Amino acid sequence: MNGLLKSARRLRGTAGALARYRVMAFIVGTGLALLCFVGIPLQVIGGNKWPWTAVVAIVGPIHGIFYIVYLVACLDLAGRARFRTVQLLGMVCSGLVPGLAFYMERKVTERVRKLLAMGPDAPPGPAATIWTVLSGRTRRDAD
Amino acid sequence: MGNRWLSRRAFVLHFLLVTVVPGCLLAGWWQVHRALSGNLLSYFYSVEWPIFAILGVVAWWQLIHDVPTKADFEKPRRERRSFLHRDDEVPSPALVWDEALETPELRRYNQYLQALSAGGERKRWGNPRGLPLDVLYEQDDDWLAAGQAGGRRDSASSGPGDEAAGGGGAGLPASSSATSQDVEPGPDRTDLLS
Repeated sequence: MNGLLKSARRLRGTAGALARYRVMAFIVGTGLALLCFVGIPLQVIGGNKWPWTAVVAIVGPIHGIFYIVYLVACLDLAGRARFRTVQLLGMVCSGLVPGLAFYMERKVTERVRKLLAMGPDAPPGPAATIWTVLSGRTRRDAD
Repeated sequence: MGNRWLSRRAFVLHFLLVTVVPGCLLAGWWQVHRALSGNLLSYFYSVEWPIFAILGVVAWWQLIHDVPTKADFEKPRRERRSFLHRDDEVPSPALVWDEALETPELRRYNQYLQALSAGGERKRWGNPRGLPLDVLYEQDDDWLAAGQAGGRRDSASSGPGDEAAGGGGAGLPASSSATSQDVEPGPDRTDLLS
């Protein structure tokens, strides 16, 4: 985990986007599992009364904030690593189905590592990522 | 590659945009109502859903401007090869030119190609007068021999192919021949054709 954070700070480009995505996938996957498998059962058991809803009330907003960051990281990685729309949708949905985030993180890492291993043979770089959208410039814009 | 806003892929993205973004906004509005009726957590969600809507627009813009990859690089190369190839197959031996297989027509044609190559010329595909091939090659040989050296096509009936291979090629400039004079007959060629 510490190593992942360090590499997220150090790496740029697609490798950095992959590291950021992996960190966020881990956080979001853990948070969602905590909500669904601990928070909601406790809330149901306690009949929606205060001490029993504590986990949902605390973890819920934190998970919500991290999920937004996770979506940004997904968009960034999908733009850099030429993901198809379906794959991006899978990454988005993996923040909604508990446990899916960990599986998806493995698949995505496998795919992006293959792309990185191709070196100069890789498909050409991103036409647009969220950073080019937010900064208002377009890279490699064809027409 | 066509209009990026009107392709099939783009219409899928447009559909996702007009379903996901209003859905997020509706959910946000619903959370605003819940927050006003006393649910504290909904204050947060009524901020979060519009952010999801914005991210949806950003994703739509990004995917529209992305060029989707055609080659599926995830599959190993072996699976993409034709079934005619096998990995354990012995590479075929290099082709060796067997002169015994050369018919006279083929030899003539090869000499014609050699003459073209020696002169830095390229083969012309046009045969506007519908000449038989050997006559055409003969004329080409003569034209190479006589025309390029400076004398014109009054020698059309005389020259055998051997002279063409040696003599005609030497006078040609090697550099100018590659792209300019391959298909169109040159200006000195026109009255031969008409």
